[in-house]
Amino acid sequence: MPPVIDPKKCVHCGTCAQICCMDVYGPAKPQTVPQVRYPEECWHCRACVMDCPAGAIELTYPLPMMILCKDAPARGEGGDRP
Amino acid sequence: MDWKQVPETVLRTDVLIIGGGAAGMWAAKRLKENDPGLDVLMVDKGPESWGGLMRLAGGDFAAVLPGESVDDWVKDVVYYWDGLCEQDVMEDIFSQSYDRLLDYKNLGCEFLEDENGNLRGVPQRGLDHCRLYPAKLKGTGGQNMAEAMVKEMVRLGVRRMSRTLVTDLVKDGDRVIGAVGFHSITGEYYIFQARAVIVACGNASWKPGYNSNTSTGEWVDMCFQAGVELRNFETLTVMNAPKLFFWEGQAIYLALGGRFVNALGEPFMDKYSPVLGANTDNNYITRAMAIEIRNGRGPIYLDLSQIKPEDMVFVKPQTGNQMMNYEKLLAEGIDFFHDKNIEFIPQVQLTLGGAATAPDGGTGVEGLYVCGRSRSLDYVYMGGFGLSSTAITGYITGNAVADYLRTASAGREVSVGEAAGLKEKLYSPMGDAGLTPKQVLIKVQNLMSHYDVCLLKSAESLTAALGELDRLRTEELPRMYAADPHYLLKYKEVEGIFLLTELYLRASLLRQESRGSHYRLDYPKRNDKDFLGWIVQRQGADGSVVQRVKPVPLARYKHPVDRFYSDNFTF
Ligand SMILES: Cc1cc2nc3c(=O)[nH]c(=O)nc-3n(C[C@H](O)[C@H](O)[C@H](O)COP(=O)(O)OP(=O)(O)OC[C@H]3O[C@@H](n4cnc5c(N)ncnc54)[C@H](O)[C@@H]3O)c2cc1C
Ligand code: SF4
Ligand code: SF4
Repeated sequence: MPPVIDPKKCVHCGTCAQICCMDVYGPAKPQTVPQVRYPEECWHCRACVMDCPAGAIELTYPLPMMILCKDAPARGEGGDRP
Repeated sequence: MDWKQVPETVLRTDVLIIGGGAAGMWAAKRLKENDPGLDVLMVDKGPESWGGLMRLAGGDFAAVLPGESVDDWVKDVVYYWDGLCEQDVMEDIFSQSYDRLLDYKNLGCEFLEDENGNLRGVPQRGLDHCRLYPAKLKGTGGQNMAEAMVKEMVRLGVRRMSRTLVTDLVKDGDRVIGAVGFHSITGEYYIFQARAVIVACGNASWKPGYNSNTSTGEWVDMCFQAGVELRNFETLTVMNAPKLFFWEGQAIYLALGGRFVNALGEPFMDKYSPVLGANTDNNYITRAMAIEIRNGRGPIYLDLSQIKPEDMVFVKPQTGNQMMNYEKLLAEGIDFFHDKNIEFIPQVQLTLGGAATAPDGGTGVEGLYVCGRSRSLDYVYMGGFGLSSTAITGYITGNAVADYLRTASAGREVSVGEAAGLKEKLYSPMGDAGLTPKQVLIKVQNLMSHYDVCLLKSAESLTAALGELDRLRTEELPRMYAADPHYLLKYKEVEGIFLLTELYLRASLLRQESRGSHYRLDYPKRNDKDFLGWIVQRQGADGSVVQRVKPVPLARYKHPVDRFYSDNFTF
């Protein structure tokens, strides 16, 4: 789940937008609560949560957030062998 | 907006460093320390003052301490990498490792010590000598290092640009003269004019999640197009990952008594490696996991009950990201250290493939250097080697480029025509209809994550995967579009991942044997006669991948290649 900013707590410092390595917030405008512009790209590094001076950002967790390995359909199957 | 009309800026510098992670910063530091008069411009696609993946790292650092033998470490990795080790290069690298650890200490980074002030090391993957040294506070070691290095950049006057992706290198004959790129927020186009260029873009990966989402494939494409020789693309790091959330640090647990068990409660690695058991490299464990799951003995769980209470200091996070992760999970009712039912499965992370360079990071292209994880050294990953190898190779390459610039003449200017041609190509995907980069990426990730492509390979499965990649390349890639400059960056990443995947599949097909993390079901044995060598790949005249096996120069090396880590396993 992408980050959610509590507008009551946010002090409009822009730190989250500055620190996010995926540019999830887009550019910050002065004196506004940053917008979550590219929510699907949050990779949950939590840099913004850690750096927010007001504790205003929440990330939901746990998350099945990546493609994980799976067996191929049928191919090479059968018996107790690799 | 007419993207062909975006403003363009020419930026001139002595050295352009692409990537502001650990390696880029070490190279910049050495350049400035050698010659404060040099103008150094470091460009990163991420945020300013981030410091790359080091900011997220735990802080484990591999180093040969005074009194230990560098030769012993080299022999360990010759064995661990199944012979594919540049012995002279690794000797040089290891012999500088303690100096870089001390440099970090002098910059204020603290390592875990016992009551007498001795560093506390953790042995690696059942090796006799190689050890890693954890940071004092597990969780923020890497962050402290990143912050210390960023301060160095400011102190030394390194110019830095953020949110800017470099997309192409520009050459004059066999010499690099600059590069081009764009700002991922404003879309502004940049032409970099440089006397030397250092690629320090990190590993190449399939954007698996938290731990390598920025290190992707566009730099591989950029180097490939520029004629740089690449190697080791058949290698992968396939980690054991919890199915439902991210967790890191498993390597240390295994060294301290942690183990994976199957659904029957069996510590199955004892079966696959009676010698090493659970304490081995992740790639062998995930291979065994896949076989266990295939044969109906999944799911797989992590069992930490055998770790001694006094060793828990190495295991439990204390601060930073790792602590936050742990607390979040607790709040969700998951206690990582006590729950018995946390399911683990294999996950493809990255390839250890990268540039094949000279010892100083030089490529065959004059003025073009590669350092850090973009330079391929290790054939199987070893904990703590990320942070130490980036500091060491960054340091070496920074020195080498400073030397090169003492005598190098100025290259010619990037011509208006060259810059305009690249610009037109760059912005051509801008649009508002088609497939998003993420939609296409997921298909490539899917292709890679089948057991028979990433773990249990065969000619049949690899050929089928190449066919699927070709289909995606002809049917889906042309439909991929970028809605704004932010997505153009993602577009370039995914485009690079196509090349990365092709390099992986082709190198895997060529290596008709099993070695290190590369395992072929149809060639399960090692074949030293034909394959004791690196698979090197480069762009051919028609743009296609040309590859060959470059033999290990045994006659020139100090240590015989007669012990192999993979011999410890039954597969
Ligand atoms: C969660 C985590 C924990 C880790 N823990 C440890 C540990 O304890 N010990 C250890 O040794 N290693 C650890 N590592 C690995 C280690 O952090 C990395 O190997 C190392 O930091 C890589 O440094 P680098 O400079 O080579 O690459 P990176 O840090 O990936 O830096 C490359 C930079 O280049 C930028 N870039 C890439 N392409 C372009 C382009 N085309 N244009 C502009 N910019 C570009 C990226 O944005 C990035 O900032 C960990 C990694 C992670 C993610
Ligand atoms: S968690 Fe990381 S990726 Fe997600 S919004 Fe925050 S800084 Fe960006
Ligand atoms: S860092 Fe926190 S306080 Fe600052 S703008 Fe972001 S949410 Fe608001």
